Amino acid sequence: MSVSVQFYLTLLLVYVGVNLIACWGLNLQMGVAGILNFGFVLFQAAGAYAYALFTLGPVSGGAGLNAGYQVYLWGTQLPFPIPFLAAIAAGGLLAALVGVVVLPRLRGDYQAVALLVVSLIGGGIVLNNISLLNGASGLSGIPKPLAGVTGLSGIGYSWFYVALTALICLMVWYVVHQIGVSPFGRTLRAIRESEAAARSLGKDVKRKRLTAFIVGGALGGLSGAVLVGFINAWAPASWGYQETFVFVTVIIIGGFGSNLGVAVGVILVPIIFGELPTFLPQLGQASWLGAIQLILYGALTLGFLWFRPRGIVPEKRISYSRSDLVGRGRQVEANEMLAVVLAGEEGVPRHDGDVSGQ
Amino acid sequence: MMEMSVVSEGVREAEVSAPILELRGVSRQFGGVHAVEDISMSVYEGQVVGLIGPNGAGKSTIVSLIAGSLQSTDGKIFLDQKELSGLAPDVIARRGIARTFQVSAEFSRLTVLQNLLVAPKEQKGEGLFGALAGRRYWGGSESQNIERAFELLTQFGMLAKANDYAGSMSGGQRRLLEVMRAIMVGPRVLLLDEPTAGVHPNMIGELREQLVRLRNQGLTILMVEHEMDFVRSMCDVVIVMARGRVIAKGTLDEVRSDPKVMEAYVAG
Ligand SMILES: Nc1ncnc2c1ncn2[C@@H]1O[C@H](COP(=O)(O)OP(=O)(O)O)[C@@H](O)[C@H]1O
Ligand SMILES: [Mg+2]
Repeated sequence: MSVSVQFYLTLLLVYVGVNLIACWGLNLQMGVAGILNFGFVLFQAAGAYAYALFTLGPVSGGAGLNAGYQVYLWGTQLPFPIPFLAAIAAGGLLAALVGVVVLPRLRGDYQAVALLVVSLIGGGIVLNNISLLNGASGLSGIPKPLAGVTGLSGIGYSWFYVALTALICLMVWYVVHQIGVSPFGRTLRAIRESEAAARSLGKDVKRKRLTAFIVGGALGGLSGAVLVGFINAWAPASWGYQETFVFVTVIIIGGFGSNLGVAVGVILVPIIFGELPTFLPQLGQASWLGAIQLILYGALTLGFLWFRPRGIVPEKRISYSRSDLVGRGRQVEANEMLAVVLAGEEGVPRHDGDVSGQ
Repeated sequence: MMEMSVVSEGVREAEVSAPILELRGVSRQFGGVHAVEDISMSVYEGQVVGLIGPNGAGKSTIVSLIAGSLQSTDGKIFLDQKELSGLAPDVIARRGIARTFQVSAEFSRLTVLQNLLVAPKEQKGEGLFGALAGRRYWGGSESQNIERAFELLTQFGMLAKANDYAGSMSGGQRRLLEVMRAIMVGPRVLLLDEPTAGVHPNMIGELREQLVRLRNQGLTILMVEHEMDFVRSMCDVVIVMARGRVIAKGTLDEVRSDPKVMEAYVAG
């Protein structure tokens, strides 16, 4: 493989990893806990900036590279993995702040719009206060993690970074998977299905939701750090609101609430949208391409919501049989066990289940 | 221990002590509509109280006021003489009041069994860190809950549906599911809003049997119900409401012969 192909490949793989982390985070908020969040990219941005501030060093007289040509409110230079942890904390803290304000006051669609507006405001603040994070020009020369320690450079380092990204993805998978299969995940899904019913069972809905929102935001922050550690620059143009819609599309197409589905969506969506428009006949100006792409996102999302609302890989149904309990030393009547196996696995109707309704 | 039959046949001995649930002058308006007006009632531990009355009488509103999903515009509600008014529904639930909804509120994209598993209080692994600690941490208490859920499903004749999505159940099955789910919480007071509505006649007998069993274990039940045979066989006391007010109280046969009650049903 030529070096340029390898560079392209490593960039692609890191992007897949970044999107995986981000979409798993958003899926925890949106798919599992039912918090529609159209401003998710804000948390990714927070993590990216936090990573930058924890690696760039002091504003002036710091790492010679950046001294003088860019301004930011504060900076330091700390070793790996602290900048990544800072990014996680930044995403989580911002989610806590936003969540405490927005979540209890607004419901469903209003929440989604409010969060979108919050992310737009965030963008506005960064753009208009240059002394904060260097405004529209953004931050550049952001150091690569462990570059000195590994002694690698060029394509060797890029492959090292792919491995680092993969490792982080594995850790994030562990987190979202453990949450997904736990009683915590089940309670979040219950809240998603009926807030009133969950409350009536004594569930602290506000707190559970906020927790899911914060963990999602923290993962968003981590995704920003992983991205910026590789591309080494970050500016408001990198986190437009459109980015969030890519994430949302991934989750709807992949499978609402399904971590595996999200992984499938992360791989499929960029292929569909990256490649599809290039097959379209050339219509007028090149600028139409962007518009067509956005229309495609919308159309595909609507199509899935209409025809396959659970996505390509739907949320897994967790089934139990009584025999699961036998292994733990519990006695179960054999005929009941058999009945469960027959009815549960084959879908054979059973006489004692005929509680016909209206 | 205490003297039997203080007031009437149906009112059990517990009435000598303080009520477990008490409403004092409770009102609730929706705009100009007085859904519930100056209601006072007491429910004693171990009693099964029926709340009947024509449509729009305010029965469901009472259930929601007690459960905290609606706030009263006036009056006070007590559980064990501690005021509930103003508390959030989840706080009230944790104090020991479980309820079902008139319009079923099942978790449709969870299975029947998972619906039941949501219910138990303070589960291991229900917080973030417990969840991250993994199955080794919460698996033990989980399998106890699963076992209890299977027991309930067997008793209610819904074992075969355990792993079906709740959203695919019939109206009657959803009712039963909600009752089972409320029972899974292990409440002291159970509020049921029309538990037999839409339930197949064959199953109503089983529902009654299970509720009687729970009552015998000391559970207190307040139920809104239209099915009079069910009320007769279950309830110690019946409270009749019409147009937001209590118009009669006693055993079913006592209130049935009350002219005010007949009038309300005819008029309502
Ligand atoms: N959320 C609400 N908003 C406005 N009016 C309501 C609401 N809930 C109940 N009501 C009104 O309050 C009255 C009592 O309703 P409800 O408690 O549901 O009666 P019941 O359960 O006895 O049939 C009815 O007139 C009903 O229209
Ligand atoms: Mg009603």
